[in-house]
Amino acid sequence: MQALYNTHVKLLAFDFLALSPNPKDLSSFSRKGTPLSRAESVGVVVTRDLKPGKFLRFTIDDGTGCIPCVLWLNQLTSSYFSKRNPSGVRLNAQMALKFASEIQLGVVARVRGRITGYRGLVQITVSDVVLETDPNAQVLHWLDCVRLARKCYGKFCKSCS
Amino acid sequence: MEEEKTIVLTISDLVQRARPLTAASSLVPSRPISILKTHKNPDDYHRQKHSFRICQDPNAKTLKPLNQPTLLTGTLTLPSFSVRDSPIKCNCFQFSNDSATICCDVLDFDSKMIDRKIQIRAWNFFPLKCGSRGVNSGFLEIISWDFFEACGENVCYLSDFSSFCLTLGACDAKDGSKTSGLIFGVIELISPVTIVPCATGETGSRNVSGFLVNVLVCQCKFCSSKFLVSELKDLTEENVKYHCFSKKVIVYFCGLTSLWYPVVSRFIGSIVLLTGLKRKLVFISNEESQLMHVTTDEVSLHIAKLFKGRGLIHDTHIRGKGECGSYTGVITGFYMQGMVVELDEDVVLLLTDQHLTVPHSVRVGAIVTLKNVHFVDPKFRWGKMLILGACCITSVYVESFSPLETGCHLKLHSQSLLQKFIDSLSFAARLWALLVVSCFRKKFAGILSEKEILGSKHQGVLLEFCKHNLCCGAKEAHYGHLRLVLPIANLINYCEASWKNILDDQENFSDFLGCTTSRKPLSCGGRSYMQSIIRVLRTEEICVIVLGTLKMSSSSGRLQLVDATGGVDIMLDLPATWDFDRIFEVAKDFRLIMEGMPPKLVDLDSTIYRPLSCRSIFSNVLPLTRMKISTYLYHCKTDEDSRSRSLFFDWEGNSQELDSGKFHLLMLTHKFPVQKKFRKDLGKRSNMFAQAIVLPLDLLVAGKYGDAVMNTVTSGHLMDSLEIFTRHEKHHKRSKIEQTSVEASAYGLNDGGNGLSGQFSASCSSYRNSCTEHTCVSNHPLELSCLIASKGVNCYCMGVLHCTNENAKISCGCKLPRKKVLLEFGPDNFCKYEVLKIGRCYLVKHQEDDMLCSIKENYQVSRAKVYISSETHIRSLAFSSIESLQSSDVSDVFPFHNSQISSDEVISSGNGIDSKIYSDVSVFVPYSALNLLENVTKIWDGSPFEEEPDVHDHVGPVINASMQSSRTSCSDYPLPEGNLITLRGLVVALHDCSGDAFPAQPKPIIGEGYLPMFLEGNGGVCVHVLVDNRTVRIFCDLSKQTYPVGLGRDAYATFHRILVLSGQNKYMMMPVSFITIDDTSLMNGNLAYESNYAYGTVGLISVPTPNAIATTTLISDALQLSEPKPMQIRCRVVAVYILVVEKARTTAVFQSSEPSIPSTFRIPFAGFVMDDGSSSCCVWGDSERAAAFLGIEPKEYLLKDSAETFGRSKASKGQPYRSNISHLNQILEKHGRVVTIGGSLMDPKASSWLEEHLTELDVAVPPLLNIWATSVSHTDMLAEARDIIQELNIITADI
Repeated sequence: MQALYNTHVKLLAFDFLALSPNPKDLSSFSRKGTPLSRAESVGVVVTRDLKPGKFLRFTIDDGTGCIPCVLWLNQLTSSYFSKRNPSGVRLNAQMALKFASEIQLGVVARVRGRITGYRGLVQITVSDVVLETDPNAQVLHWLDCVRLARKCYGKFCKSCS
Repeated sequence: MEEEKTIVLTISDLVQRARPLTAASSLVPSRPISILKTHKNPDDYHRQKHSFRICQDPNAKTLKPLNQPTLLTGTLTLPSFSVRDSPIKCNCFQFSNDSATICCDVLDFDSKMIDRKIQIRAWNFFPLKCGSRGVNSGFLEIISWDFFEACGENVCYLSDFSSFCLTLGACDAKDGSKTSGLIFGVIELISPVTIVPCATGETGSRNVSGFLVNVLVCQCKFCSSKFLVSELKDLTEENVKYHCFSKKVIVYFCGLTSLWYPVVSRFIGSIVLLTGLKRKLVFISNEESQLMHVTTDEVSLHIAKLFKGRGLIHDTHIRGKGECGSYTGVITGFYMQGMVVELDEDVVLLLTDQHLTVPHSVRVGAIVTLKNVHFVDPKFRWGKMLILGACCITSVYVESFSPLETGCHLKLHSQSLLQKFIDSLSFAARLWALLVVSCFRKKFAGILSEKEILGSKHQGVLLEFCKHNLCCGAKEAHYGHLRLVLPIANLINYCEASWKNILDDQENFSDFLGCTTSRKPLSCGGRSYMQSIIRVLRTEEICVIVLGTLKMSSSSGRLQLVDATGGVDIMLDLPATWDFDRIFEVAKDFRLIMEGMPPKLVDLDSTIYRPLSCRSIFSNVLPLTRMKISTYLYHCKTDEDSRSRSLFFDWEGNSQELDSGKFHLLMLTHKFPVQKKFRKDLGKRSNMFAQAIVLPLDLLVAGKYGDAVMNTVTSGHLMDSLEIFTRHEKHHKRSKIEQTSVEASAYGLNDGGNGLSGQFSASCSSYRNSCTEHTCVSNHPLELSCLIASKGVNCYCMGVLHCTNENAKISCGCKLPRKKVLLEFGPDNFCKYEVLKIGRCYLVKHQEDDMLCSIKENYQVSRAKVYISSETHIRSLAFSSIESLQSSDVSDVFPFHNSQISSDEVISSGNGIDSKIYSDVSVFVPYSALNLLENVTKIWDGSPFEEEPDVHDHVGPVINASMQSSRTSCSDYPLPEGNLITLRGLVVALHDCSGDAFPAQPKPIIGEGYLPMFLEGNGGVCVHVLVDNRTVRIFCDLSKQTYPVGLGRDAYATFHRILVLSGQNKYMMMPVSFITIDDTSLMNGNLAYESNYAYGTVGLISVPTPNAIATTTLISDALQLSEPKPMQIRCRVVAVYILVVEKARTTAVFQSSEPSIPSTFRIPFAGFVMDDGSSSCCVWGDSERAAAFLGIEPKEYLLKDSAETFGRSKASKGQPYRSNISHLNQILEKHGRVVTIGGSLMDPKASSWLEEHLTELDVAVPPLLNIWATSVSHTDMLAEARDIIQELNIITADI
């Protein structure tokens, strides 16, 4: 059951948005009773709101819904990172900036990150971004989601079994 | 003050010395030699490079100067060609003193110098042979001169107007002279001096020499008034403007005035006044007459002081379509007996006109001005050039003499047929014809006699050629299609020049990189290799024909097209009957393929490689340095066989009609390569060998068995014979065997006493049974009648295919006895060896005591050797269905055209080269029989595995015939293990591979093998071949093996009998291995395969196991597996678990300072946490795999490399790297892509190996599923999506 907890689950937006926060541990979410912490999504970037030096908020539309995403850009200023290895933090900051520059309206992006909640809504706190140039990528993602939902995530589903 | 004593020479002194000399030491800087008028050449032809380049001929010496100031004194006179006893017959000025008279030319000509004694202070002298008797004479170029005595009074009546006056009588142009005798205008053009036979009544006929001058006159009332002469005195530049010189009048300078030619020709474009003319109507032809002004005894010529060159304004826009204009340039070469003059190195002046004479001072190095010359842009596809066509209105004069010791070019006019022919052509065609003459001379120097090349003896090669093109080319306006017959040395030069051009042009280059070479450097064995650039030229495109003979190169052992100038590798499929003494023509369907490495800046020295120019063809000067590119000709197989067809030579069919008799059918199974050690030493040339199987079928060609009956049918009667044939066939469907003899006699096959009778129908019917029921034929020897057509023979013969095996058991799927035979070719029969192709059927005539008959039908052991002598005729054979003949238009003369195969099919057929078109003999059998015959031949085709036990006997060393890769054999120096197999695939890359680097790994990492020791020491080549969507590597040792022409990227090659190495997907060429090139995708000139294969498989080496390609599985499913098994997972890197980096120099393998090694560190192994959405796992890989995971594409290195290479910074594109660490950081940013990983769960052995190494590094083995990666490749999203849909459908269906 923990097998999926650290896996980046591929969920379609409608499925993702229906995730419910774990009442005991607000940092984790569950899908039909299966605890999840990370997710991956592929879709078109439809909104983009940049707060330089702080964060980039954007939304990914995968055809079944829109997933809100946040990409933090405050690695160099936040005290949260101050205890970490500075060169690592710098690298993180560089990469975040690079991701932010890639996220433009209309691009098809593959994002991965942690599942978090913000003002009662589920979102992805993005850890990496890859732009997809192959138009088949979206279709393959949908099919992956369907197949995984049927073959894999269902197995761990408490209520199903 | 003259310190040196001035020497006075006489002309006879100079003539006697007979050496070129210059005496220009009296020239002082204060006095310019001559002021160059800046003639404006048409802008169209970018003649802006007005800096006159001096001839760059390294052999040209400057004139030898005399040590002291030397004077010549004498008198300058007009030409004397009309004087009968004068030895000089040309239009030059004469210079004479008491001793002798010679021709001369003057730079600063003054009319007053004529017939006056002058002293010449600076001059050049050349010895000349004069006249038909070859009298010693010379030519004087007068650079500067003075009057010997003070000049007398000016006697010109119009001295205010004229700078120059030339009269026959007294100069007495009076005011109010009759305007009819006057001409005031601009000299437009001038004809050469010609001699006209003239009848003058009583005295009989005499010849009148003269020349015509076109003068443009003004028609204003002032010009036609009788006050013209007096007004002219006051002529100023201002009032000349009011004249419009536009009306053409012709003035004929005849008789004595014809001597004025050198004077008048200097004043083209000047304003002149001519007096003392008579108007006459001159009959040009029978019907046509022309009003002319003819000079009288009182003629005088005045050249206006002002306005020299003003009158003529040639501002017509020159497009190169034959417009007249003037041109000034430096002469850089004379070719073809002075008929072709090269100016400024890339302009060609054609002086082919019979009547035109040029001054002797027109030499290499002189600056000349051409007036009224035709500008022609021939638009030849093989080279850009400008032709200046001289004709009867062209005049040439020298602006500045040449300082070089170059001889005069007296044009020899021959009245040969060829010369007449050339004169009849337009300028572009004329140049082309001269080039072709030159090319033919060069190509066949020492092979054919001059007469055979140029004509007059059996017409000659050249005339035959020219006449062909005359009908289609000469009368048209565009000559772009005229093909050049290039000598091979020039062809190679052309290739190099175009290669250079491609790379030279920066924009083009980036484009070029973009389309053909934006390949990533190939990564193999932990190193990266730059990939070559390929450029394809179609011979039709460049409009070049190449002729030569086909020969084996003694140095490389390859087939070459050779002429007297050199040779070029050629790749083609020759007819087995090709006569190697014949001239081979490369015209249609040929490609010129060039391949080389991206050049360094130093290679692009533009002074070395020049584009194809007339100079390079006419002269024998070719660059000595050769570029490092491989060039070869490739014949594209099309639906029409053009190999033995000629565009222009009317070869009498190289027909090889089959004699009647018995022929054996051989199927070639292997060719043993010519051993390299023998090739180097011609004296020790070895025999060549090939292996074949004797098919259990003989072809009996009727004739011997039916002498009395006419048994060949011409194509006209083909229908009849077909009817007989088919009637016969149909008849037998219902006939009984007993009727056979009657039928057989109907078409002459039944001749008592011979073995052909009787069995025919029996065989046919029984054979049908065999086909329909798929059972073995038994009891009856198979006999099958057929029609036979030989290539180039316009008729068919009847024949019978006869099964040789008494107990033949032929059917679909039945196994036949193998009668193997080794064919031995003597060193002189290389051509026979060369034309044979593996996998094809051949006919060999039966002879008495034939070895082919007596081969025992033993399955394994029997091996017979047959010596193929030059008398042995081998013909390739193909079976076709007789129905195809019937269905097609029989009137079509050549039967092979009937085969219904589109060119697409042929191209795509790969190994299945359309043997019907390319075979010498076609055997037509009923369609139903075709299947069976194909089966008979296919039994042996493409099943090399069955052969191998036999082959191993030849090889010698015992080799374990195990195909399984043995992972346990990682001892220190294992021997290669495996079978000899045949592989066919697309060559995707090649790279240098010095022995140690090939598949070597620093440590015995799982799945890798070692290269056997015996290959070490010599450089090799690693060939990456795409076989069934996976890349395999084949190692070839350059020092030992022969490589066929065309083995390169994008070629479909078959590697026969190569050794399977113990590692995976690695093979090695053996001494018995043979490579054949089946096809190349380069034939279309585009490289369509680039994107499909190169990135997926070469950039990221995809090396799945040969046995099974696993389907993509989910990691969660893999967790359930209990034993290691090949699998594929599609996933992304989540994190780097461990990346082991070590300094490259610490390991032996990477010691070599290969420039392509990307950086100073290496990754021996690495572990990555991967995630596919179902679960996570840890994937382990060696350096290559790790590099692929991390997305290390050596792009940065390419950019860095090319920035160095092309001398321009690409820093803007690729970030310069500061240190290895920051580089690594950059690398780590890139692992986001989805990749497909091939691999398997780690077996216990591998696990313990990993644990051991991780423990050394103080790292724990991750508590995840551990997978060893064998391949990393891009994901084909579309294919994956399709697979999932299918899978989901199945799931849905289950539900």
